[in-house]
Amino acid sequence: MKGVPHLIELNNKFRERGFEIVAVSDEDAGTIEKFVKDKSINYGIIKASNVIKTYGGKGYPSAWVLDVDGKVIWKGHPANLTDAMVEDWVKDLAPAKITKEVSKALRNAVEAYNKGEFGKAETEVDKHLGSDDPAVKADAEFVDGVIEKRRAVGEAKAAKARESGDLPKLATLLEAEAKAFDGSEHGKKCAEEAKTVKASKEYKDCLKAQSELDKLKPKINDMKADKAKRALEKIAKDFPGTPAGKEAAELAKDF
Amino acid sequence: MKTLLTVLLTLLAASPGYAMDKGEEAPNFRFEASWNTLPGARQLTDYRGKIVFLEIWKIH
Repeated sequence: MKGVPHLIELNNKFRERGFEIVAVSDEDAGTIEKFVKDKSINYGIIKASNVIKTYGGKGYPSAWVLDVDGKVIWKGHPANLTDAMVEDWVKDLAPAKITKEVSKALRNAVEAYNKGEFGKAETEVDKHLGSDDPAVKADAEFVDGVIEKRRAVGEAKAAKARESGDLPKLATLLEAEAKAFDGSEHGKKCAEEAKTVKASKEYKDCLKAQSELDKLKPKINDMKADKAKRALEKIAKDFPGTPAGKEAAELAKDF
Repeated sequence: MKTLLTVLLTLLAASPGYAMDKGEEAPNFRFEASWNTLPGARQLTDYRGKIVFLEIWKIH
């Protein structure tokens, strides 16, 4: 595996900036585990079956790059992936940590950001955005920009959950954002929306549908096909538009 | 049961001759086992919000 050092290097350079390697093999877990340890692999390795068939790769290894919405933006041989390409893809992402050296005035803001306390970071940054010291002002604007990117990432995830009707996921996301942005306007907004979502009938329907599907799933293989189909279709019909309702409709097609 | 469901869902996503191309949404799949992945990640969609380099490889 000539590619392993290349991937380790990319992982070291870009993981903290939002670049994740997911290397999938269908070999047995023991074999993979030994390989991961022997080669000191620090990037993500997955065992999953049938992925190559689904993805239609051209032999091993085959690779794709997915954007923040899971859409393909590149495909090819992993060896053809360069630092410059990855740099271009991650430049608009919010980094997990700010590693840039900043003026003393902004250290509290950076520390808060790196702990995932974005609301606190924002409050700290706000104190320095109007600074007379151009270096401090520039650093404040830089950190403010990073926080803004981070907020956009959260909003994009929430928008996706809202669009797909996955309200339990939306509520969980909003609550996490509310906590991370605690102390800021954005945090307050997220907390309010989470509350509204959780009080809605649609949210409760999602939970009910999920619970019914969870109850049905372990029994389904022992049921007669037509009965299983009817049970799945009932969930789909009773809870249309919910994630579990959609899953039930898909599963019903197989019976 | 879970494995069967995974297989069924995977088959659903895979129409004959399908090759994933630029602009298409990557079909989801569940992780049967994982090393060094994002905390709590169980399936590909848990990586939304990241730039993902997805590689299919073999040791042998």
